[in-house]
Amino acid sequence: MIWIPIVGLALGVFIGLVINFSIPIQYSSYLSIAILAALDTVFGGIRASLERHFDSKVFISGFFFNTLLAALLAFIGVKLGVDLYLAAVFAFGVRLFQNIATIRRLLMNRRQNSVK
Amino acid sequence: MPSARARSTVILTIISMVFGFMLAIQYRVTQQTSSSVEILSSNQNTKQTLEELKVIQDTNKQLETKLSELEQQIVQYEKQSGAMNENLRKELENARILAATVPVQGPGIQLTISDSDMNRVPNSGDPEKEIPRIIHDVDINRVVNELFLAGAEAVAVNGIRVATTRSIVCIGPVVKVNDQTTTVPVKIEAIGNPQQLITALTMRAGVLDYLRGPDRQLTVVPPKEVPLLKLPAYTGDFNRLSKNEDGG
Repeated sequence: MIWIPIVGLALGVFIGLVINFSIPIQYSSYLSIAILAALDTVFGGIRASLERHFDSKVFISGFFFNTLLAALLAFIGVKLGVDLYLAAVFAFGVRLFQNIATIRRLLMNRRQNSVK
Repeated sequence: MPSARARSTVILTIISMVFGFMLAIQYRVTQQTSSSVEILSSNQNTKQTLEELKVIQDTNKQLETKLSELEQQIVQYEKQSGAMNENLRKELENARILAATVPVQGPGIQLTISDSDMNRVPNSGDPEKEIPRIIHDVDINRVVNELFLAGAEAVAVNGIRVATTRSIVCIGPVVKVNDQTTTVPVKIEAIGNPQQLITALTMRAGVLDYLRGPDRQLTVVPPKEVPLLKLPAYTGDFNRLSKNEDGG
């Protein structure tokens, strides 16, 4: 059933490209941070499902909470003159790579097990 | 647990849709602002520059108002100075109107030219001719020249007064009159003897016939008489104006 979310992703991209909706340029930095947070949550979810302790509540709350928090953090940072978005980029970026590394290792382990 | 599995699939689908939507929006915004590469780091700079621009624009506006006030003052002083010869004053006034430095009003005509309805010449088979029929600077210049030749005292293109040392130039899709830019459709207003001006423009094989003709195929709203036209003064760089006198 993995293809249904992928179709959803494609549909979302399609809708975003087709409808004539765009945000003001000054808010695009917040959106980019939010996207980074969302990406992090998505990979976290994939990892959790591979480790077989995926919890949809944790996942869905994490997705929206992280996204909004990252955007809020960047917003506050701009208001205070502190580059807080760097903190978000750093935190999410590190976690993103860790998650991907874990996913890779898990997949390799699984393949080895199936070969054996 | 098939129901829990179905639920998580639905949730995943919704989330990936939201995620895809965000990605697409961000992609589009980034494409739009590809010239300003680093939005995050240049955000502060951009804001600052915008503020500076606004201040300069405000100052510019104030100075322009002041300029027009001073111009009016000069006119008043001239009126007050009784020593001035009546003929001289009249001559000065005429020169002012001709130089487009004062706003004028009076009877005149108005016409509008826009790009051709037809994008291409049908069945011509000649690729050279199959170009979009759009207004060029020459077209506007033709009409303006014709108007001045026919005795127009003042001409404005889309509300921009055409100075005697004018320049009407095409820059890509816009037309630059003096130093201001404007776009199609082009509304041309002229003060002068309405009958005379209309006759000059609509004469057979005249300028409007040419614009409508097979060579240009532009859409021309025929000139109509306007009992009272108000045209603004030339708003631009007066130094440029005086320096350009030889070339103009």
